[in-house]
Amino acid sequence: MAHQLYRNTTIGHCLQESLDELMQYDQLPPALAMKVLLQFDKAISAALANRVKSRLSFKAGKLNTYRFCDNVWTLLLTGVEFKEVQDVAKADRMKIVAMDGRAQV
Amino acid sequence: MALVQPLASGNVMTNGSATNCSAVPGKAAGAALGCDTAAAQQLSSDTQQAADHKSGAAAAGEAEEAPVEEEVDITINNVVCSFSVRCHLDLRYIAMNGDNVEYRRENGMVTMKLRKPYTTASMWSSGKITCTGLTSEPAAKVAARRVARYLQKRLNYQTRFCNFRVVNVLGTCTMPFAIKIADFSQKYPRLACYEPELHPGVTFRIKEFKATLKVFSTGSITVTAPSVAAVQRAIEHIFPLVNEFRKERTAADLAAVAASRARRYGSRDSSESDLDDDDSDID
Repeated sequence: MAHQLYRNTTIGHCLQESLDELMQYDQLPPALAMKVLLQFDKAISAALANRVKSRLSFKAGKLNTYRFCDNVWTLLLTGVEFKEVQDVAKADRMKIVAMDGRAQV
Repeated sequence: MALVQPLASGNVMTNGSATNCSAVPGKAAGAALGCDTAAAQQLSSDTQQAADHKSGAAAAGEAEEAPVEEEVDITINNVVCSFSVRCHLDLRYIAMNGDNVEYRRENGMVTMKLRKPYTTASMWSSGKITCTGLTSEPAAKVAARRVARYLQKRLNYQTRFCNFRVVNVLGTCTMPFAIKIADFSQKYPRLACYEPELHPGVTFRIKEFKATLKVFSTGSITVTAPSVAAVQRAIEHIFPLVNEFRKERTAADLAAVAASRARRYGSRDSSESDLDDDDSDID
Protein backbone atom coordinates (compact mmCIF):
# COMPACT_ATOMS: atom_id res chain seq x y z
CA MET A 1 0.00 0.00 0.00
CA ALA A 2 1.53 3.32 -1.01
CA HIS A 3 1.47 6.18 1.46
CA GLN A 4 -1.20 8.81 1.11
CA LEU A 5 1.29 11.59 0.60
CA TYR A 6 0.02 12.61 -2.80
CA ARG A 7 -3.56 13.26 -1.74
CA ASN A 8 -2.45 16.70 -0.57
CA THR A 9 -1.64 17.89 -4.08
CA THR A 10 -3.63 19.84 -6.63
CA ILE A 11 -4.57 16.68 -8.51
CA GLY A 12 -5.33 14.83 -5.28
CA HIS A 13 -7.58 17.63 -4.06
CA CYS A 14 -9.41 17.75 -7.38
CA LEU A 15 -10.01 14.03 -7.18
CA GLN A 16 -11.28 14.27 -3.61
CA GLU A 17 -13.60 17.13 -4.46
CA SER A 18 -15.01 15.24 -7.46
CA LEU A 19 -15.59 12.16 -5.33
CA ASP A 20 -17.26 14.27 -2.64
CA GLU A 21 -19.58 15.77 -5.26
CA LEU A 22 -20.54 12.35 -6.59
CA MET A 23 -21.17 11.11 -3.06
CA GLN A 24 -23.35 14.14 -2.37
CA TYR A 25 -25.60 13.25 -5.29
CA ASP A 26 -25.68 9.63 -4.11
CA GLN A 27 -24.08 8.49 -7.31
CA LEU A 28 -21.15 6.89 -5.55
CA PRO A 29 -21.11 4.85 -2.34
CA PRO A 30 -18.47 6.08 0.21
CA ALA A 31 -16.70 2.69 0.27
CA LEU A 32 -16.10 2.96 -3.46
CA ALA A 33 -14.73 6.51 -3.01
CA MET A 34 -12.22 5.13 -0.48
CA LYS A 35 -11.17 2.46 -2.97
CA VAL A 36 -10.73 5.10 -5.66
CA LEU A 37 -8.44 7.10 -3.40
CA LEU A 38 -6.37 4.04 -2.52
CA GLN A 39 -6.03 3.21 -6.19
CA PHE A 40 -5.02 6.83 -6.81
CA ASP A 41 -2.23 6.51 -4.22
CA LYS A 42 -0.86 3.43 -5.94
CA ALA A 43 -1.21 4.88 -9.43
CA ILE A 44 0.45 8.20 -8.70
CA SER A 45 3.38 6.54 -6.90
CA ALA A 46 3.90 4.18 -9.82
CA ALA A 47 3.56 6.97 -12.38
CA LEU A 48 6.06 9.24 -10.66
CA ALA A 49 8.48 6.39 -10.24
CA ASN A 50 8.25 4.96 -13.75
CA ARG A 51 6.77 7.44 -16.17
CA VAL A 52 8.35 10.75 -15.18
CA LYS A 53 11.64 11.28 -16.98
CA SER A 54 12.38 15.00 -16.58
CA ARG A 55 14.95 16.04 -14.03
CA LEU A 56 14.82 19.30 -12.13
CA SER A 57 17.49 20.44 -9.73
CA PHE A 58 17.10 23.10 -7.09
CA LYS A 59 19.33 25.02 -4.79
CA ALA A 60 18.26 26.86 -1.68
CA GLY A 61 19.76 29.86 0.05
CA LYS A 62 19.05 28.58 3.51
CA LEU A 63 17.55 25.59 5.25
CA ASN A 64 15.46 27.32 7.89
CA THR A 65 14.19 24.31 9.77
CA TYR A 66 14.09 20.58 9.45
CA ARG A 67 12.00 18.00 11.21
CA PHE A 68 12.03 14.25 11.25
CA CYS A 69 9.17 12.45 12.96
CA ASP A 70 7.37 9.17 12.09
CA ASN A 71 9.76 8.69 9.18
CA VAL A 72 8.60 11.91 7.55
CA TRP A 73 11.05 14.68 6.75
CA THR A 74 9.68 18.24 6.70
CA LEU A 75 12.09 20.83 5.38
CA LEU A 76 11.57 24.58 5.18
CA LEU A 77 13.85 26.38 2.74
CA THR A 78 14.17 30.00 1.66
CA GLY A 79 15.58 31.53 -1.47
CA VAL A 80 15.07 28.50 -3.68
CA GLU A 81 16.05 28.43 -7.33
CA PHE A 82 14.85 25.66 -9.62
CA LYS A 83 16.93 24.91 -12.67
CA GLU A 84 16.05 22.71 -15.59
CA VAL A 85 18.00 23.29 -18.78
CA GLN A 86 17.34 27.01 -18.56
CA ASP A 87 16.57 28.90 -15.35
CA VAL A 88 12.96 27.96 -14.68
CA ALA A 89 11.61 29.31 -11.38
CA LYS A 90 12.37 30.96 -8.11
CA ALA A 91 10.57 30.61 -4.82
CA ASP A 92 10.98 32.72 -1.70
CA ARG A 93 9.90 29.99 0.67
CA MET A 94 9.51 26.30 0.04
CA LYS A 95 8.25 23.41 2.13
CA ILE A 96 9.30 19.87 1.35
CA VAL A 97 7.46 16.91 2.86
CA ALA A 98 9.33 13.73 2.12
CA MET A 99 8.66 10.10 2.97
CA ASP A 100 10.73 7.01 2.52
CA GLY A 101 10.19 5.66 -0.99
CA ARG A 102 11.15 2.13 -0.13
CA ALA A 103 9.04 1.63 3.00
CA GLN A 104 5.62 0.09 2.41
CA VAL A 105 3.17 0.91 5.20
CA MET B 1 74.91 18.61 37.52
CA ALA B 2 71.39 17.51 38.11
CA LEU B 3 69.64 15.98 35.16
CA VAL B 4 67.45 18.59 33.57
CA GLN B 5 63.93 17.32 33.36
CA PRO B 6 61.88 19.60 31.12
CA LEU B 7 58.93 20.43 33.25
CA ALA B 8 55.76 21.45 31.54
CA SER B 9 54.11 24.52 32.96
CA GLY B 10 50.73 25.29 31.61
CA ASN B 11 49.17 28.63 30.85
CA VAL B 12 45.43 28.28 30.85
CA MET B 13 43.83 30.75 28.48
CA THR B 14 40.12 31.03 28.78
CA ASN B 15 38.20 34.17 27.96
CA GLY B 16 41.31 36.22 27.59
CA SER B 17 42.62 35.87 31.13
CA ALA B 18 46.00 34.24 31.49
CA THR B 19 46.81 32.44 34.71
CA ASN B 20 50.15 30.80 35.22
CA CYS B 21 49.29 27.39 36.61
CA SER B 22 52.45 25.90 37.98
CA ALA B 23 55.40 28.22 38.28
CA VAL B 24 58.24 26.16 39.68
CA PRO B 25 61.22 28.36 40.45
CA GLY B 26 64.68 26.86 40.36
CA LYS B 27 63.87 24.19 37.79
CA ALA B 28 64.29 24.43 34.07
CA ALA B 29 60.92 25.21 32.57
CA GLY B 30 61.01 23.07 29.48
CA ALA B 31 57.82 24.03 27.78
CA ALA B 32 55.04 26.55 27.98
CA LEU B 33 51.69 25.15 27.06
CA GLY B 34 49.00 27.30 25.55
CA CYS B 35 45.48 26.00 25.87
CA ASP B 36 43.69 27.16 22.77
CA THR B 37 39.97 27.13 22.27
CA ALA B 38 38.44 27.67 18.92
CA ALA B 39 36.27 30.59 19.95
CA ALA B 40 38.73 33.19 21.14
CA GLN B 41 41.00 34.74 18.59
CA GLN B 42 42.91 37.17 20.75
CA LEU B 43 44.44 34.29 22.69
CA SER B 44 47.34 33.92 20.29
CA SER B 45 48.70 37.28 21.31
CA ASP B 46 48.12 36.52 24.99
CA THR B 47 49.92 33.24 24.51
CA GLN B 48 52.83 35.05 22.98
CA GLN B 49 52.93 37.59 25.82
CA ALA B 50 52.74 34.91 28.47
CA ALA B 51 55.39 32.85 26.73
CA ASP B 52 57.70 35.85 26.65
CA HIS B 53 57.00 36.49 30.30
CA LYS B 54 57.63 32.86 31.14
CA SER B 55 60.84 32.63 29.18
CA GLY B 56 62.03 35.80 30.88
CA ALA B 57 61.28 34.34 34.32
CA ALA B 58 62.84 31.02 33.44
CA ALA B 59 65.96 32.64 32.06
CA ALA B 60 66.25 34.68 35.23
CA GLY B 61 65.83 31.56 37.35
CA GLU B 62 68.38 29.44 35.56
CA ALA B 63 71.84 30.71 34.99
CA GLU B 64 73.55 27.55 33.76
CA GLU B 65 70.83 25.73 31.77
CA ALA B 66 69.36 27.30 28.64
CA PRO B 67 65.64 26.52 28.91
CA VAL B 68 64.01 25.09 25.82
CA GLU B 69 60.83 27.11 25.20
CA GLU B 70 58.30 25.04 23.32
CA GLU B 71 54.72 26.04 22.81
CA VAL B 72 52.19 23.25 22.67
CA ASP B 73 48.63 24.16 21.71
CA ILE B 74 45.85 22.15 23.25
CA THR B 75 42.70 22.22 21.13
CA ILE B 76 39.45 21.32 22.82
CA ASN B 77 37.49 19.39 20.24
CA ASN B 78 34.43 18.15 22.05
CA VAL B 79 32.75 19.08 25.31
CA VAL B 80 29.85 16.92 26.43
CA CYS B 81 27.54 18.19 29.12
CA SER B 82 24.38 16.93 30.73
CA PHE B 83 21.57 18.64 32.59
CA SER B 84 17.96 18.24 33.54
CA VAL B 85 14.90 20.42 32.99
CA ARG B 86 13.01 18.72 35.80
CA CYS B 87 9.82 18.10 33.89
CA HIS B 88 8.52 15.31 31.74
CA LEU B 89 8.95 16.01 28.04
CA ASP B 90 6.41 14.82 25.51
CA LEU B 91 8.85 13.77 22.80
CA ARG B 92 6.17 13.41 20.17
CA TYR B 93 4.89 16.93 20.81
CA ILE B 94 8.43 18.32 20.60
CA ALA B 95 9.04 16.37 17.40
CA MET B 96 5.88 17.66 15.76
CA ASN B 97 6.10 21.27 16.90
CA GLY B 98 9.80 21.91 17.42
CA ASP B 99 12.27 23.27 14.89
CA ASN B 100 15.41 21.44 13.81
CA VAL B 101 14.42 18.24 15.56
CA GLU B 102 14.66 14.57 14.70
CA TYR B 103 12.76 11.90 16.55
CA ARG B 104 13.66 8.31 16.00
CA ARG B 105 11.54 6.02 18.07
CA GLU B 106 14.14 3.27 18.16
CA ASN B 107 16.46 5.56 20.12
CA GLY B 108 13.71 6.96 22.33
CA MET B 109 15.09 10.49 22.18
CA VAL B 110 14.66 13.75 20.31
CA THR B 111 17.78 15.25 18.75
CA MET B 112 17.83 18.99 18.32
CA LYS B 113 20.69 20.82 16.67
CA LEU B 114 21.62 24.38 17.43
CA ARG B 115 23.53 26.50 14.95
CA LYS B 116 25.21 28.82 17.42
CA PRO B 117 26.97 27.43 19.46
CA TYR B 118 27.08 24.44 17.17
CA THR B 119 25.77 21.58 19.24
CA THR B 120 23.52 18.54 19.20
CA ALA B 121 21.13 18.23 22.13
CA SER B 122 19.63 14.83 22.89
CA MET B 123 16.49 14.95 24.97
CA TRP B 124 14.82 12.15 26.80
CA SER B 125 11.26 12.07 28.02
CA SER B 126 12.49 12.12 31.62
CA GLY B 127 13.71 15.66 31.09
CA LYS B 128 17.39 14.78 30.93
CA ILE B 129 19.26 16.47 28.13
CA THR B 130 22.79 15.93 26.83
CA CYS B 131 24.64 18.49 24.68
CA THR B 132 27.55 17.34 22.59
CA GLY B 133 29.92 18.83 20.04
CA LEU B 134 30.80 22.02 21.87
CA THR B 135 34.22 23.60 21.97
CA SER B 136 34.45 25.06 25.45
CA GLU B 137 32.91 24.86 28.90
CA PRO B 138 31.27 28.31 28.88
CA ALA B 139 29.83 27.53 25.44
CA ALA B 140 28.40 24.35 26.92
CA LYS B 141 26.61 26.34 29.61
CA VAL B 142 25.26 28.78 27.02
CA ALA B 143 24.07 26.00 24.73
CA ALA B 144 22.40 24.13 27.59
CA ARG B 145 20.58 27.25 28.72
CA ARG B 146 19.58 28.00 25.16
CA VAL B 147 18.00 24.58 24.78
CA ALA B 148 16.13 24.92 28.07
CA ARG B 149 14.99 28.40 27.05
CA TYR B 150 13.71 27.09 23.75
CA LEU B 151 11.64 24.48 25.52
CA GLN B 152 10.33 27.10 27.88
CA LYS B 153 9.55 29.82 25.37
CA ARG B 154 8.49 27.95 22.24
CA LEU B 155 6.98 24.81 23.64
CA ASN B 156 5.69 26.19 26.95
CA TYR B 157 7.30 23.72 29.30
CA GLN B 158 7.81 24.66 32.94
CA THR B 159 11.53 24.09 32.76
CA ARG B 160 14.05 24.46 35.57
CA PHE B 161 17.73 24.38 34.74
CA CYS B 162 19.21 21.77 37.06
CA ASN B 163 22.24 19.56 37.55
CA PHE B 164 24.36 21.06 34.83
CA ARG B 165 27.68 19.26 34.66
CA VAL B 166 30.35 18.81 32.04
CA VAL B 167 30.66 15.10 31.58
CA ASN B 168 33.51 14.72 29.15
CA VAL B 169 36.04 16.87 27.37
CA LEU B 170 38.09 15.75 24.40
CA GLY B 171 41.27 17.65 23.72
CA THR B 172 44.04 17.10 21.22
CA CYS B 173 47.53 18.40 21.02
CA THR B 174 50.57 17.77 18.90
CA MET B 175 54.02 17.51 20.34
CA PRO B 176 56.77 19.18 18.34
CA PHE B 177 58.53 15.86 18.15
CA ALA B 178 57.73 12.27 17.24
CA ILE B 179 57.49 9.64 19.95
CA LYS B 180 58.92 6.15 20.24
CA ILE B 181 55.73 4.62 21.52
CA ALA B 182 56.96 1.05 21.76
CA ASP B 183 59.63 2.02 24.31
CA PHE B 184 57.23 4.45 26.01
CA SER B 185 54.63 1.75 26.52
CA GLN B 186 57.24 -0.64 27.86
CA LYS B 187 58.39 1.79 30.50
CA TYR B 188 54.89 2.18 31.98
CA PRO B 189 53.37 -1.29 31.69
CA ARG B 190 50.59 -0.74 34.22
CA LEU B 191 49.47 2.65 33.00
CA ALA B 192 49.98 2.23 29.26
CA CYS B 193 48.30 -0.23 26.93
CA TYR B 194 49.70 -0.70 23.45
CA GLU B 195 48.23 -3.23 21.02
CA PRO B 196 49.54 -2.28 17.58
CA GLU B 197 47.23 -4.80 15.92
CA LEU B 198 44.17 -3.15 17.44
CA HIS B 199 45.01 0.53 17.52
CA PRO B 200 48.04 2.49 16.39
CA GLY B 201 48.26 4.52 19.60
CA VAL B 202 49.18 3.89 23.20
CA THR B 203 46.29 4.20 25.65
CA PHE B 204 47.64 5.86 28.77
CA ARG B 205 45.43 6.31 31.78
CA ILE B 206 46.11 8.85 34.51
CA LYS B 207 44.07 7.87 37.52
CA GLU B 208 44.37 11.10 39.51
CA PHE B 209 42.93 13.26 36.71
CA LYS B 210 40.61 10.47 35.50
CA ALA B 211 42.06 11.10 32.07
CA THR B 212 42.63 8.72 29.19
CA LEU B 213 45.28 9.75 26.72
CA LYS B 214 46.02 8.23 23.36
CA VAL B 215 49.61 8.79 22.36
CA PHE B 216 50.56 8.35 18.74
CA SER B 217 53.95 7.94 17.18
CA THR B 218 53.54 11.16 15.16
CA GLY B 219 53.52 13.09 18.41
CA SER B 220 49.78 13.72 18.46
CA ILE B 221 48.04 13.10 21.73
CA THR B 222 44.29 13.01 22.35
CA VAL B 223 42.96 13.33 25.89
CA THR B 224 39.53 12.63 27.28
CA ALA B 225 38.95 13.88 30.79
CA PRO B 226 36.09 15.21 32.91
CA SER B 227 37.03 18.87 32.53
CA VAL B 228 39.17 21.27 30.52
CA ALA B 229 41.45 21.81 33.50
CA ALA B 230 41.97 18.07 33.81
CA VAL B 231 42.86 17.87 30.11
CA GLN B 232 45.42 20.58 30.57
CA ARG B 233 46.94 18.98 33.67
CA ALA B 234 47.05 15.61 31.95
CA ILE B 235 49.04 17.08 29.06
CA GLU B 236 51.39 18.75 31.51
CA HIS B 237 51.79 15.47 33.33
CA ILE B 238 52.53 13.44 30.24
CA PHE B 239 54.85 15.92 28.60
CA PRO B 240 57.99 14.95 30.52
CA LEU B 241 57.11 11.27 30.25
CA VAL B 242 56.81 11.50 26.52
CA ASN B 243 59.71 13.89 26.09
CA GLU B 244 62.00 11.15 27.29
CA PHE B 245 61.13 9.11 24.21
CA ARG B 246 61.26 11.90 21.70
CA LYS B 247 62.61 11.27 18.27
CA GLU B 248 63.16 13.85 15.59
CA ARG B 249 60.56 14.08 12.89
CA THR B 250 61.31 13.06 9.33
CA ALA B 251 60.51 15.47 6.51
CA ALA B 252 57.35 13.51 5.70
CA ASP B 253 56.11 13.84 9.29
CA LEU B 254 56.73 17.59 9.26
CA ALA B 255 54.81 18.01 6.02
CA ALA B 256 51.86 16.06 7.43
CA VAL B 257 51.79 18.15 10.61
CA ALA B 258 52.00 21.40 8.64
CA ALA B 259 49.13 20.32 6.43
CA SER B 260 46.87 19.41 9.34
CA ARG B 261 47.69 22.67 11.10
CA ALA B 262 46.84 24.68 7.98
CA ARG B 263 43.51 22.89 7.71
CA ARG B 264 42.70 23.52 11.36
CA TYR B 265 43.72 27.18 11.54
CA GLY B 266 42.17 27.96 8.19
CA SER B 267 38.77 26.88 9.42
CA ARG B 268 39.25 28.42 12.87
CA ASP B 269 39.81 31.94 11.51
CA SER B 270 36.37 31.99 9.99
CA SER B 271 34.50 31.05 13.14
CA GLU B 272 32.93 33.76 15.25
CA SER B 273 32.41 33.94 18.92
CA ASP B 274 29.35 31.96 19.83
CA LEU B 275 29.16 32.84 23.46
CA ASP B 276 26.56 35.64 23.19
CA ASP B 277 23.90 34.63 25.62
CA ASP B 278 20.81 36.19 24.13
CA ASP B 279 17.51 35.07 22.69
CA SER B 280 18.06 36.59 19.28
CA ASP B 281 17.91 33.29 17.48
CA ILE B 282 14.62 32.30 19.10
CA ASP B 283 11.84 34.16 17.36
